[in-house]
Amino acid sequence: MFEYRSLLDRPFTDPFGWDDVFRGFDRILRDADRDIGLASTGYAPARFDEETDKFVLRVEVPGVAEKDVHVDFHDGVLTVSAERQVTEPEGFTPRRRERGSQKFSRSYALGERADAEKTTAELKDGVLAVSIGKAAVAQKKSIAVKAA
Amino acid sequence: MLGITKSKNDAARKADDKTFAAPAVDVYENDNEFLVLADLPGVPQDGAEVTLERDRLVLQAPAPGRNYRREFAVPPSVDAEAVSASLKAGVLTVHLPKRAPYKPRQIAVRTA
Repeated sequence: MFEYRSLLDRPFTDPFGWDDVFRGFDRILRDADRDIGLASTGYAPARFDEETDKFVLRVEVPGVAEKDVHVDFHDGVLTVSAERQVTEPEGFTPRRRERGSQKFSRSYALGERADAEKTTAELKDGVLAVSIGKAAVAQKKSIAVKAA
Repeated sequence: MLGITKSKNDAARKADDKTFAAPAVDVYENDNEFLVLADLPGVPQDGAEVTLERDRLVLQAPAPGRNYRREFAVPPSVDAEAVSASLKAGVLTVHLPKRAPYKPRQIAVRTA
């Protein structure tokens, strides 16, 4: 259950199991890493899914402007980076600070499985969604078996 | 006895099925208001619910794969009627203005 705390309570000591939430995300990241992850700096909760005809990478970047998000595809490596600068509103005294500034970059080696031409990226409601079309080689194809 | 234990376990299991997430929150204060900022990535502009009942501020929003929820105790200085909230780019902003008696007032000192 969620503990009932005051707006003014300090310091913050994870009464909500926030750490558990992050551990869950970390696990997702590690699973993705085992498969295709290359390098990363910083941190943002991300999820990499494989669908029939595409890969979908979703990264949580609340409050990040479009101009601070970069998606590159080079030599079969997809690199996603984003930066968030959290600034104190002027004239206010901070009472609780949990939302940090973040700067992150992750690369995924997709090799010949991905089709750069069919890659699109969309930033919506604080989530960056990158859709990477699968190359023909990566798509499952059933071969009809003919009786001889 | 056995029955009670069983129902307790069922309740616990049910709670586990639903994934709640506590969003990261910043709280600021100045003379006129409290300002609450919460990260709610994946929640559309009209998808968050902010309620203030007595002294409890509840922020909640469903998002793909989880439900965001967080509660706070609000000081009595807050003017419940004047609370406003907006959501943009996955960040919820809640303004909680203070009632007049709690705002600092400059008293002019007159020379006699």
